Amino acid sequence: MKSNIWFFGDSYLEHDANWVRFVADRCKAKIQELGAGGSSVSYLLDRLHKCAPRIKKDDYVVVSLSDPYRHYFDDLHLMPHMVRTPDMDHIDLNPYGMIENEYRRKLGIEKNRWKKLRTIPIQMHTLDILNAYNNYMSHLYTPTVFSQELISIVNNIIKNILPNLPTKKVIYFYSIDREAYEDTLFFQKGSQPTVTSFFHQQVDYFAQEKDMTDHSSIMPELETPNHWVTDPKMQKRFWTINNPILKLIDADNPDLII
Amino acid sequence: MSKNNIFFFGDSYCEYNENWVKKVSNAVDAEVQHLGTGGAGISHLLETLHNTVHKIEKDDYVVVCLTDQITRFYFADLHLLINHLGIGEIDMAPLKYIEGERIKAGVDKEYLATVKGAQSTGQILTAFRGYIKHLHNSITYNRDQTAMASYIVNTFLPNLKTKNAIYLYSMNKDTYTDKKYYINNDNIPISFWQAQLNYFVKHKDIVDLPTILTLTRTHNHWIDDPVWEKMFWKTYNPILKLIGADNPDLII
Repeated sequence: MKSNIWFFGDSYLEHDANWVRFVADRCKAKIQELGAGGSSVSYLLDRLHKCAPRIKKDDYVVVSLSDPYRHYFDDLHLMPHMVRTPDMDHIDLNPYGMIENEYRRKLGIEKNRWKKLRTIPIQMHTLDILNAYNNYMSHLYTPTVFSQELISIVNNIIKNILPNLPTKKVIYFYSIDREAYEDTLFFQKGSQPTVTSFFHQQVDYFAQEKDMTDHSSIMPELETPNHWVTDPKMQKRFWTINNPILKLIDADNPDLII
Repeated sequence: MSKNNIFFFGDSYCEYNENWVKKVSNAVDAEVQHLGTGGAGISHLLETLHNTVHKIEKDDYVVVCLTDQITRFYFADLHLLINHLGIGEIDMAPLKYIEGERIKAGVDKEYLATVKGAQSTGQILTAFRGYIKHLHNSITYNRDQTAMASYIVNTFLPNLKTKNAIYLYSMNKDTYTDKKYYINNDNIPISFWQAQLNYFVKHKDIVDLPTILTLTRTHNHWIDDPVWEKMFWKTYNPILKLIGADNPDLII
């Protein structure tokens, strides 16, 4: 019987494609779980709790730790920049549209059916969510306190949850920002070595290979499944950096390309 | 040689340097450097631990009271409870309460009395209501808070400079320990609140919650009754003994 592989995290491992597919194939394992785009550490914790009873001794677990600023509120993946844009002004934002899209996903309605099902009560409820999130961000949210909470949750995942899963074939990566965790004074590193985040690997690639340093130019390039960049140079970089971690579960790629 | 220090972290059960808190600090001959905060939740506990850790030395003592992780919120330096919205058992005037919390957080009282100040208090209340109504999911929130408590108990406390660190539950032990990935020490006794409920039921024949809440409206919710004191020390001495702070006399 085939083993299973579980990918927990955000958009960097959301699709059964490119590196995710390669890793699953290398492990000869069936994919049982994938990440969710825009999701946060709270969602990761939620999924780990829900899936843990089904994870077996010979299964594989790959975790990608997103940044500690995202919210998971009532099954909605929300991000501060959806309603506040001081550091994201390069992105053309449509707060209502983004919240509505999240609400549609929560309801499990396909994009092509949405127009028909988008009733007035649904639109009113979307507005309620948008207002509530806006008010939360304006009057209740303190970034340092919130990020501290998520960092401690990640610390708990690394130190207490992952080592206690039935399988020992467990690895984790950072998807957005390793330093946001590991540079924190009270962060206790796990026994596994870590590498720079997927996003920073890409930022370095764009800066060094493409002479692109502007986020507004880089972001469209990453609008791909798992934010995968097919350029062999990026692939070589990806596998070279991440192989030492993937090797821990025998899922490294010595060819440095797929 | 200067005295060692003792740090109490948590909620209203260790808010005052009196009764059991004082007895514990005297037992270890240490000066109280930090106390709990009334109404505080796990988020505030985490923040104060992080902000205070650099002051804790090798021979110091640390007592953590893990509060309820379900109904308490720490937003914008304010300790908010679902009860403040009139949802819980206690009848509260929400605006008044939030204003009181803002004063405690250091917001100028005179400013709060102005139209602008009152409006800003109203905005906080509206935001909290909206959050609870449209964004809050108690299961997810509880899980996050439990994970934070698990981090405190299993990672933070064992990595302090001092090994004289213990924790107790102030409100509810079961809400933590029934979580699969909350690694706990099963020897920790029931919460202070649960112990008090048992006391009122068994020894006073009181089962009415509002009455119990009124009777525990004291510093550290302490009950001045030798029967309660005996119960208290008997229950918590095994943990307090870990830092040499037990009270064999069973009375203060």
